[in-house]
Amino acid sequence: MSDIRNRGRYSRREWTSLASAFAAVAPLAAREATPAGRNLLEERREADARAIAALERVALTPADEPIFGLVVT
Amino acid sequence: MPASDVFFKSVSELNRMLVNREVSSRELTEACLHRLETLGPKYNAIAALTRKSAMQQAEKVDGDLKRKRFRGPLQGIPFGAMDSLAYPGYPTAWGAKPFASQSFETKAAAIENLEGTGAVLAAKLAMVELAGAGGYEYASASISGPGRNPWNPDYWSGGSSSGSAIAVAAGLLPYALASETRDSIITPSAYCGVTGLSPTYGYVSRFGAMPVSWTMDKIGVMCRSAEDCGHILQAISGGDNRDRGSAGKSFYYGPEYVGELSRLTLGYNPADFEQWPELATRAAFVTALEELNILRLRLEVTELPDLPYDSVASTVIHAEAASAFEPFIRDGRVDELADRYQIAGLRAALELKSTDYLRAQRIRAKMQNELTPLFRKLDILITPSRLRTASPLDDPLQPAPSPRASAKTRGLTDLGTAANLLGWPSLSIPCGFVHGLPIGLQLVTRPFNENRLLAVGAAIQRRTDWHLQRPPVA
Repeated sequence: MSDIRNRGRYSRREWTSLASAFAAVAPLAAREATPAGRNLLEERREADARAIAALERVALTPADEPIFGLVVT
Repeated sequence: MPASDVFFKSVSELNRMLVNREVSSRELTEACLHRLETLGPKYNAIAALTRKSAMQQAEKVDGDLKRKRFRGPLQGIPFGAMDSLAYPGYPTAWGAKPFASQSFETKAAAIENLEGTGAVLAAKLAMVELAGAGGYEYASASISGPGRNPWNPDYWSGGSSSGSAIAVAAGLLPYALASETRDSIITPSAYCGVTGLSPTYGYVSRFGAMPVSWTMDKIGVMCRSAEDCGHILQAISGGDNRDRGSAGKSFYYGPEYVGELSRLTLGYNPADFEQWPELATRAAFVTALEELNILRLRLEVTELPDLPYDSVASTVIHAEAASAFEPFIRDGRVDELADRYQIAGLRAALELKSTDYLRAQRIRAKMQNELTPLFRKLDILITPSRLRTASPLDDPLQPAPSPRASAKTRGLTDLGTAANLLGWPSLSIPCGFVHGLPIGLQLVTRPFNENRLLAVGAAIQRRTDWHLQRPPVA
């Protein structure tokens, strides 16, 4: 149970539901611990860099304005 | 107690039963709550039951029905809402352990609108943590555990609106609200065999909804049929000055105004059905395509311009999500998430440069200019919703669940991503089964033309029974 101070805010039924959810997730999260030799942060940085490289291949002129708040057409 | 058939009835059928006093809203709500309680945990579908407020609303509606105060097709019918939507008095955990004790005093506008028509919120439904804002590698990326597919609980439900799709597919609820930033409605709809509508950006207020990407987030719905989607979109759409993205428009469900379907032209690409999908699914997709010929819809081959759809979408979503969740990432609470791939993704996203984000948004504008003309000669674009069936529960979802097929043309394989980037509406309808798991077709059209999508979807569903199939739920 993550935060005992909040117990009074929910019914027993709701807390039971949350507690069983934590119990279900904990072993799964543990199983997904980063495998040895795998640097996930570096993997994600590299993925972002690949995406940005793909963006840089699109020719843009100064007249190509960005979307600020999508206005659908 | 209503017969078991009642759990798979459409909104229109349930409304008829309520108006004719064959069943009361209280009975219907109690029956759904019982089913949610007993079957929901089996599929990890539930975030929280809203029993107390649901029974109060049901009793109020029964009073109205008794006095013949009819308020439309959703009156007295229970529904569910993805746990990204706030509802006072109950937790809104956004599917994530670090937010397990979070609650809001405000009510999400979409829920508020439904309750205004007499609909009854019965449950908050499970979702992928933070709607997968930073990307995720495993189906178990949720405080509720992995979404289990009602057609085979050893397979994933799809995400991020996992609980919404499960609840509708398993007959726990007639319909459920969900959210889509990128495929979060379309994917679970296809994998669970339900009809999912992601409306035009701005049609439905996002007030009270968890933000992932302010320029891409949409609230939509999952139902048993295209017709049901129309009734619900009519109820939840409308301008809202509490949402900066609101288009200020309301949707009126009127498929009859679309006219003769034989006058519509559908853009498709044979490669999307014959080459891109996973081998086992190709025959089923081709069969589904043949149904369109029987409906005498005109088909024309087309393809999307060569643009980096995936890169633009990932850059926009990651940059906006990193901004929305910046304090949470910086103070280390992000490490309490279940999925390590998402933790790393959110941390890396904080390092994106403003010029990269702006470049993505500039290409997005260019994309809008280049893709919008497609609708000068085409009315709807159509492609498989996903190129495969749901994956086994323990399979990694990233970077690719299986070796990707290839084809000589890109066809419309990026249609879903393009639609999300441009705010176009999208409908996923069931179109067959492969090894006992559903597959779906995705239909996309120009903004604010949902009636066109729903009319074609309903016509297909009048001819076929894929959407009427029921999973082997106890």
